[in-house]
Amino acid sequence: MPTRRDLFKQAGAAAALAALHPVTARAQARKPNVTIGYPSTPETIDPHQFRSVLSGSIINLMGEGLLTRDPQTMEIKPLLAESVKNLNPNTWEIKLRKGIRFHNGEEFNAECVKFTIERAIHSKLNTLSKLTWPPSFGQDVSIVDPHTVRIVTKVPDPMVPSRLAAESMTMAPAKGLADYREKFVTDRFIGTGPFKLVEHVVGDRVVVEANPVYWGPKPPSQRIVIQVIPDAATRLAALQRGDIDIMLNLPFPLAPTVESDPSLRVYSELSSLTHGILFNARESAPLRDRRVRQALNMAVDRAAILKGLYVGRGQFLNTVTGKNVANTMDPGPYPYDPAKAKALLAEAGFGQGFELTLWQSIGRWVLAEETAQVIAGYWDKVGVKTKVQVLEWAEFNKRSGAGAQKDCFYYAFINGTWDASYTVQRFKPDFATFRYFDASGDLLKTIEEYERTFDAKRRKELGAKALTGLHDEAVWLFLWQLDELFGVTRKVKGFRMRPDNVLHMRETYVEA
Amino acid sequence: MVFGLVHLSGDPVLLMVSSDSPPDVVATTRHALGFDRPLHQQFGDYVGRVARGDLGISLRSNRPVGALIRERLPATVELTVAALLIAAAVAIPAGIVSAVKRGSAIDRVAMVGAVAGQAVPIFWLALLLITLFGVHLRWLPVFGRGSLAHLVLPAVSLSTVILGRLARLVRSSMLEVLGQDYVRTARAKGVGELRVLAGHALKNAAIPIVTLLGLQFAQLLGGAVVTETIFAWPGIGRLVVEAIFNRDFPVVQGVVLVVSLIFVAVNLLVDLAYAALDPRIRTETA
Repeated sequence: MPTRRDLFKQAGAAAALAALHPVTARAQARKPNVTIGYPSTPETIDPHQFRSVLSGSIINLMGEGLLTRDPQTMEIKPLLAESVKNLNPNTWEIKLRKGIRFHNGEEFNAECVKFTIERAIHSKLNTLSKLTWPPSFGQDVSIVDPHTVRIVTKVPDPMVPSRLAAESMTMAPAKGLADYREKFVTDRFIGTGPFKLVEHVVGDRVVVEANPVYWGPKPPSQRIVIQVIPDAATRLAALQRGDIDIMLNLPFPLAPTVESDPSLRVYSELSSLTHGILFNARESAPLRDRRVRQALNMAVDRAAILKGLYVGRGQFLNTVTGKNVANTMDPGPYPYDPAKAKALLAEAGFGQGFELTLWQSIGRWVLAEETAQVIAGYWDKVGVKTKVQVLEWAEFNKRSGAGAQKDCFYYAFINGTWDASYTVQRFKPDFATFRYFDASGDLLKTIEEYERTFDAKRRKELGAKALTGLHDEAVWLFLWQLDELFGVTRKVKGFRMRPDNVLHMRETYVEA
Repeated sequence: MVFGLVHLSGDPVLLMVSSDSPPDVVATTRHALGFDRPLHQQFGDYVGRVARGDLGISLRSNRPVGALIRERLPATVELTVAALLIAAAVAIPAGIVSAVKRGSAIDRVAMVGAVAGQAVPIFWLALLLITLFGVHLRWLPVFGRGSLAHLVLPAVSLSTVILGRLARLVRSSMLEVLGQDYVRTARAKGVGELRVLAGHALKNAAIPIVTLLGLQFAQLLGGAVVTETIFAWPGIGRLVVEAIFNRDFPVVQGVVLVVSLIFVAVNLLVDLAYAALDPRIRTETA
């Protein structure tokens, strides 16, 4: 059995942290505060309860996990762990960094790792961790010594490092939160991170300040204020006035206003959300035929839609996993070719066309309703009479997850483990949710082997093969990943969005 | 009724768990929150808790609903009172002048302004004020709560909801009163015009004005959502709208209950004000 030994063998605290905090070495006149305009209220400051990437980004300022991700490359790096060894397919040994203290003065040790994993995964709490690392993996944490733990899983799990690097596995103090093993924390945040919580005024702001005894490099700003300003136009006005330094969720139509202001700039990164239209190839008779699904891909001029509706701010998606994700690949696009689409439909026995329903939710994704309408228009042109139906989000989401959407529906997926397997696994016939296409034969064998494989090179090969197979099967109408836009003042430095949409604000500062 | 309506709006658990959640996670969450029990049992528990002063725990933030309302209500009361004061300060003189100068250019301008005030969408006016006074002139802050300056733009925006209606009501009430015999008598006795208007006419025209102000105050407590959203004003309007979208039942129920109680209290105060303003009502009551 291949194993990944010494995965993070003594990576070296100084080197790792220097890579994570490059700006701190520079001497620069800085303002003490950074103010960031958020579009919505962070739903929680509990390290294990949060759902949104916006809350996760705030938690990232104050809390730390055993592992983390490089904000640019997404490479997994040690943080509170010194090293992670895969002893055998089911056992991981983690050596912990010594001399680290939580904001309440409590020492970080093996007890805290055990407490955190039990709270996040095995408590009664409805945590995010249970989704990224389901309890069914049977994680058992044993303490070897105060600075060494072993995690044994019931099933071989090559994704353990990815799961430990997620913000949802932020380490919590065993003593400080002892009373909160079975209940959420609402009034405090006790982490090991470079910032400490000053106040959380629900619906208004979160204020954090530099942790004077932080074990790593000191953050460049004294204080970061997360200010909730729900209206985009008001956020922009606040940015123009200099009341805030960074504006999140800059709508595409407002980007030219920012670009025309000499003191501001637009910062954009490709979002990890992968947009597509999922075909119900299990129940819809025409959509069971691969040629029909391929025809529907060829019938749509994605370039025209991306340019017309999204001012060209995005990149095409050609399989079920987005760019940058580990083990992803791009099999190339289906060409926009309505004539070929018609020929394929005729070949499949649908030369006279057929009727299709395209389901859509309200207000969930930017311009998605308009996109669905335009796509319906393209499909109409090749003889597929398409009716767009709209559902309220909760009902839409319930049906989508339950595999109950008829014909096809618009959806956008995150990638919870930053590996192609996160989306590829959905095509196994025994997967619990979002089952609309059952892989079979060689494709299924590839997906199953991919899930079990630890060897990095082999995983890449299997991932590429699975993604190419799903592209050839045209399981979705592959759409795009859109840009995430931010308005920032030109004096802002060190702010970036990680490719998985988590904001990296630890190194952010404003030049005086 | 609110309890029934919010529960009819759908299952909050579906918004709390991720779309990837397996059915057992959904079922466990539903059980943990008690939403798998019959509705009448849930209602009975709710009424019992409310009777003990416990409005429950927010499903989204896990914080007590009472504490959330206590944090947010003062901001909304502050904004509403400021908007009413601005509206009264502008609309009452404008309505009086319009009534006294009926048919004149001033009357026409004031009434066109009043109708425009009622017709202009508040979000549009708010953004206009932000652009002018916040971005171009840089006189006033554009979001948040804190100093008196923070209150100006949201209060002015919100006041337009009431201003037009109030000005028209003052005008019509004054016109009615100015035609009464006792006003003619007062003038015939040589009482000064200002005293006639303030001491005789306005006092008698005040009952419908006070009624409107009272009702508007109560309505704005729960209805200043647009203003609160645009100016990032941390009031209960935003709290309840976010709660509705998240199906945070305890928060919706708690806010509706508190606003309803305030509505009833304000109506009582308005009724008491009638007696203070009009001795005839006191006499009839006696």
